[in-house]
Amino acid sequence: MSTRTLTEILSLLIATPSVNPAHSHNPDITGEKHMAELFIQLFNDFGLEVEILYPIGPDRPAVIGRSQPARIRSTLMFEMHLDTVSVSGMTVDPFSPKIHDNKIYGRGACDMKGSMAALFYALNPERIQALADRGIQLMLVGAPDEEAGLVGATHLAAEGLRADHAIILEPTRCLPVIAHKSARKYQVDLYGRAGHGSQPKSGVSTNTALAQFLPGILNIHADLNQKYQHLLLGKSSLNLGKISGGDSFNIIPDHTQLLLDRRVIPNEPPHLFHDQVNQLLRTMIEQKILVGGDMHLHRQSQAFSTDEQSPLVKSLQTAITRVTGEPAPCGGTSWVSDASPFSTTCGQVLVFGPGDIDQAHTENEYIEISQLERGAAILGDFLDHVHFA
Amino acid sequence: MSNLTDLLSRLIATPSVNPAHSDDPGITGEKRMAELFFSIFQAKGLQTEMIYPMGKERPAVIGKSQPEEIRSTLMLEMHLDTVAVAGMTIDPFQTEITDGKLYGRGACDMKGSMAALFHALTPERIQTLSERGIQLILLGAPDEETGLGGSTKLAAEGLGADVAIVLEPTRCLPVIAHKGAHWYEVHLRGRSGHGSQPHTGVSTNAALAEFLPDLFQIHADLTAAYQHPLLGTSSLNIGKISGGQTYNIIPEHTLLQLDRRVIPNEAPELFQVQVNQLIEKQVQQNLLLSGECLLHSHTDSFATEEDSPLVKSLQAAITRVTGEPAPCSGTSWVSDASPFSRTCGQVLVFGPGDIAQAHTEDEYIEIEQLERGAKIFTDFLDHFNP
Repeated sequence: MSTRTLTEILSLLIATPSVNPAHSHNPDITGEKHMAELFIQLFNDFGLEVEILYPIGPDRPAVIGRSQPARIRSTLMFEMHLDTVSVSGMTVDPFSPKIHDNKIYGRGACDMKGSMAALFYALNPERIQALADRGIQLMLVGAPDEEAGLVGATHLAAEGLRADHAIILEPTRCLPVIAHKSARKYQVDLYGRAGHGSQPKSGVSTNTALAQFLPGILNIHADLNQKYQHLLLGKSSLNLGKISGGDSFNIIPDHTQLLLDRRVIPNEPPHLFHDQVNQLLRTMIEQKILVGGDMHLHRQSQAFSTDEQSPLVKSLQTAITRVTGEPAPCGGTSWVSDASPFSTTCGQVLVFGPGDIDQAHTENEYIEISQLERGAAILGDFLDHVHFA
Repeated sequence: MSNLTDLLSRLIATPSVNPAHSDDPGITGEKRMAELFFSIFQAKGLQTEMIYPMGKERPAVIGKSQPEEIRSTLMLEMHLDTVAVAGMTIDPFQTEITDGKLYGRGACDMKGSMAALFHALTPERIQTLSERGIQLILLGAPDEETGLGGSTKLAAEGLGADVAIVLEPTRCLPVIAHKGAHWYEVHLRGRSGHGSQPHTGVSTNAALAEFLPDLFQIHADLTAAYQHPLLGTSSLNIGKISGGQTYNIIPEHTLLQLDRRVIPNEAPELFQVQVNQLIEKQVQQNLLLSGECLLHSHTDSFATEEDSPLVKSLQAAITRVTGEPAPCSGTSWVSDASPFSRTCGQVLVFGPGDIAQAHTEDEYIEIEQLERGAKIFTDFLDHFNP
């Protein structure tokens, strides 16, 4: 590895397509298998013991590499996701990276093969040995299927994969992210009774019911925002992503469906919103504004929040400041990452990496080379100095 | 009156499903019915012609008597088409009679009314009308079931009469008013963004939370201000709402489809103007980027005076046949009476059968209604003298 430059490593990673299968049907560019093979080879070069798991089925491997200290005092995990989003509609060549204006362009440059390259550049057998001498077991994890809903990480965490300290690599502009809101996606179904649109009183219109239901849920949300705030994350948010009710002008709609995306701060009990919306539905059914209605949690990811004073956060902040000469304030995000599932199994978790989330998933995805270099320098410094009491 | 049910069976056995309701060429289109009408009209001695208000596969048939002196014109209007037959639990085109009911597609809407009229209309009766100076105009129009298409075009071309009876199942009682049907599309437009950051966009679904209550308020204020003795108040159905793609994208467009049924004494544009003002207000409050309420299609309302000669004559005929009073009513459903109310002096809607059986999976007409309809037509034609 040491024979390759940082941009050469990143180019090799980008040239290994790993589009999430949920985002494309082209077999030549989809799936994490080729990336997993590359990871196995790199981990072997680092002298790590390699394990391959299939948390979500054949053809979707996860790769784990572990150092073997004589005595393990604590474990430090670096987690990466092997997949990228789709490449359709891209205005740059997705897999033949080009350097222009000190930026490297290609799918995954920012999210998050740039972070992989920075780590792989910083890691060498000597540094891994020095960590081992301090009793720190290094674990590298390449997980499949992040981009379709943190699926790989969720399965791996459910199977108990963990470490005392975990850094999830994602583009954070080389600053520590120590909290995510949870993403809670709800499907609400309102049921009424159809009839001819010329006689609205002969049925129960679920679109009419929305005139009460929508202000009702926005009110519930506003009350929760009043009660619960978070230092880094602010307030929970609500997006009414989709509303779809009825078929045509002249039929009384008997079903309206809402898809809600609520991003919830860690200190707000997530069941409150669900309970209160269900109560609103029950009241509307009693008032005969609706015939029936239910709300169910379609999908969720965990919120997480790590103490700013924890040794992992402090060590990383110190490394950042040594490299950049600047303070390294912690942030929180409303986007989620594999940190959410791994926060349930790991002692301390943070998210860190070079590049800006604004360039993730874009038609001309790139990473600034200055970010890439800064990331590699910070990770190198961190690995040289980190120790856990 | 077995030749009455035979006649109706023959009409039902001539499929005329509206082409918008089916793709099966064996049963769709008005052509076969038009040809049958043509021969029936000719057999009654009427001067008959086919015209093509909506293309050469969609004829209308007109038959006119030829009085020496025309004092007034009486139009009897029928629509040639039926709704689809998919999902029917009976044979749509092979009629069956059970329990005093005749089953088949169109039995009620409105081939039953055709049969009652054709049975009553003998050449002798047409001749006596002519002698009284009344020219009879029989009209079979295409494409009623997808929005009064045929009659709207025919009325626009000027087809009309001094008085007109539009045949539809009204349980043999006069219907003298329809609400208008005004269909609107409302477009609300905002700005998209990622659903994890709702404040970075302008969500048209969030705007609905204020838009819908205000929309109902506009409607409620109008229904408080305007009522009609036969039709009650205008109504509002929000038939469809569709906004956004999925959970985590801020919706930038929400579409609403509204069906408003408007009484004749409420100016229909009031609602649209106020909805557009509401949208403008939301734009000023930055709840929306833009939006508009557009009239998608409409049919006119109509209301005929209860003491007009046409209504009085029909009521008298009904009472002579049934021995009962014949109260007038209004409906929130529409018929070809709406377009023809523009070109005809007086219009009413009348026919045997109950609208509740129209479009059903086991459509039927009670034979008692059918016979009653034929008798009332007979009596009316014998006595009508405007």
